[in-house]
Amino acid sequence: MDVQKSWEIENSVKLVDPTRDALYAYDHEANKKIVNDKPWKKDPNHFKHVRISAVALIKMVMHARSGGDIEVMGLMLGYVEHATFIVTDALRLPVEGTETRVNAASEADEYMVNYLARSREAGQVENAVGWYHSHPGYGCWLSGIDVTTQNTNQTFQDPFLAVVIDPHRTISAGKVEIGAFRTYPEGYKPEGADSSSDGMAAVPMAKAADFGAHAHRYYPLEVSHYKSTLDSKLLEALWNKYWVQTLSSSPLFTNRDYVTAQIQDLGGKAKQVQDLMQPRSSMGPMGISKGKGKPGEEQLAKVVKSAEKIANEERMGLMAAMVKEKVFGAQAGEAALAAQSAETNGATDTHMTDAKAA
Amino acid sequence: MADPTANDLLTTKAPDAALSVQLHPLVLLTITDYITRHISRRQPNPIVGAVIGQQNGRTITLEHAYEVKTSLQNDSDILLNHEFFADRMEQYKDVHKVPALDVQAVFMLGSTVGPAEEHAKVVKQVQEMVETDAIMLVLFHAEMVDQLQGGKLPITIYESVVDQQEGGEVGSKDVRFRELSFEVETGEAEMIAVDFVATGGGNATAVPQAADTIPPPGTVEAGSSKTAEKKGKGKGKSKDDDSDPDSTHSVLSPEDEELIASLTAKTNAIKMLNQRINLIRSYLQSLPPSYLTSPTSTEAPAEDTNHPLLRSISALLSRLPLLAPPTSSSETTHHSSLASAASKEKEDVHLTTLLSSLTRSISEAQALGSKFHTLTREKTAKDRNVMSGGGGRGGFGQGEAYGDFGASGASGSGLGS
Repeated sequence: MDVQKSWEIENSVKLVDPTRDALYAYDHEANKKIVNDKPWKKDPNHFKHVRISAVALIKMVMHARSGGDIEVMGLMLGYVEHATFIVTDALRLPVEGTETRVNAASEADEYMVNYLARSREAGQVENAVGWYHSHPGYGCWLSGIDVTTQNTNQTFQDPFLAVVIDPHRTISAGKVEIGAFRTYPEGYKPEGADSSSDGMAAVPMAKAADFGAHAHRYYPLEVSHYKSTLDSKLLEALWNKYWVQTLSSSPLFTNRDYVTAQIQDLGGKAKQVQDLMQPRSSMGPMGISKGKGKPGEEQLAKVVKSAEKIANEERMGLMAAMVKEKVFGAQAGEAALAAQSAETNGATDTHMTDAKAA
Repeated sequence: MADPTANDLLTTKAPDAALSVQLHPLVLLTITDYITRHISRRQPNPIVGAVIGQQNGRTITLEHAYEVKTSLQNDSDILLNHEFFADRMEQYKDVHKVPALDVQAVFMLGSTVGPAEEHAKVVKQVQEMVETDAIMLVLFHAEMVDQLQGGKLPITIYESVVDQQEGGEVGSKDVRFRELSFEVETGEAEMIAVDFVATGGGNATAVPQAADTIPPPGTVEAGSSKTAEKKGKGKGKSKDDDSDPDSTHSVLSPEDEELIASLTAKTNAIKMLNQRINLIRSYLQSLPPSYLTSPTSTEAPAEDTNHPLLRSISALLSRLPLLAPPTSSSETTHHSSLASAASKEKEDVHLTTLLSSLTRSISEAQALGSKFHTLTREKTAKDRNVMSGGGGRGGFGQGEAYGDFGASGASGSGLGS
């Protein structure tokens, strides 16, 4: 019996907690039966939650960031349980610039088929349960092309999920900016009119038209993540190593371009709002109804929200810089003097002769 | 801990050139994720995987990892499937082109004693497939997982060294391992993602039927879960206090929460720094008196003084002056470029804050204006119709709003009173 196997069995009880790591177990056959029922066909709003594993989340965020300003995409593996999508892993696809092409995914078809076949061989038997792509700098929502793609997916590959990640906002805000969506079938009218437009306060002007035109055709799901007990233990140990990064990061410097673009965009939006609300000299005395002012007010409110968000992020960046200065820079002058005096003392020491004498 | 020299496969030959290894957290989490999955699903084959990264001179980074297909031969030999390995490697290289990543190491489970026979065999197989001798071995120590205080990671990285076997045939090579030290490096995106995952605290309990009423513990809320104690401790089934939506946090807006979270993170990092500095200081203070501790003494230091350690401490101290911004003789006349850059940044941030407050004021003024306008309109309509020309104008423009209402208000009150 080889050493490794015995170690595995001995320690497997301690490494995995069956209750708290339940999501990692997966019974392919049992899952097939559930899937055959297809409860989502009757209810377009069936799926409400998404749980993403720690590894999948990190991989997706890193992939999105590695694309820089170019959109990237990939697949997610996992399964469904009741009204929740469970994403266990993610893989990159060798395509880029996916926002302008409807069939970006089909270029990677061969790659996908091969990869999934190999994964099954290695024991990772989950099906593809969704796709993810990035919107660098313009928020988490589905564009017209995305909605079309997702509709096709939901027709032929259901259950399927669409996930969008914004790597620039992630870095700027210091937390992961991610959204998960399902589209409604053609012609379906959701009851609540503004199902998805609320959360996206800050869609840049250039994309606002695309956003507005399709916002009613999909709805967002609640995203949460999970990790195993083993992951948690490792993360606790890791914190001891990456606290240095926390202290030494310079968000103001890293995000300069992105923030400038945001402010520019905001300026444009403010101008739009102003144009909307200009007093019209041709208007009669009682001609101004409340209706005309309303959309202007709403837009103004959105502009305010975006402005405050930008200011907040900048403030946090400034705090980071000030903390660094205080901790390292302020006392450095005195420390320099102290170090110098110690050196001059040491220089006159006769270490060498002492060692020889001893 | 077992004596490492007792392990046949560890070489005591000194390294000829120091290799520096940078390990990324994603690799560790991939390994633990794979282990959890493997055990939860009771998969029979041994746990083996490849780690890819970059090699730049003497620096090797380990950035991503994936599992490989294995089979057991003769019940004890682990055989890697060559086709699978080659295919998978191609697939990963395809999507990791900028920067180009290559297979740098193999990961397996192992004990703290060190590599065993089967580890060496697997490494040899990988070396053949990748056609390079420089494959490292990453051993994950399952038995260390329960006592992970002090931040020691349950991983040891070994470099494979080719030793000529003494007395063997000429040309026969044997794989020996030498332990390497490594550091944990992260990129910015990786750090944010790992941080996010660590503090969210969602455990992987199964999804109940009516899951839509209860928000799961790790929801992407605006930081209501980021309180001080949870930072960096990520674990916990008792995250019920996470799902309190409004009760205790109704006073703080999401922006405030974010600010608090980031400040808390900084506080913890500073505390850690403080701890480490105190550690160094107490170590120095605990040294027995010798010429090292005070400039006047002439005693020799103790036999077992850790001189390299003291040298590195001294090197650290001598680097401190670098942090001080270059000062000039008269500080008031001209500042160093560093100081002026810092103050420019500060001004930028304050400007942004000012702009956002201005925007908010404008919006509130506009709201006030429109409400006032409605009020006045009703009032003048009731009293008289004469001032309709002045009071009826929309006046949604920003400056004109006040001007208008000032006029209509004054005239309205003049007429009304």
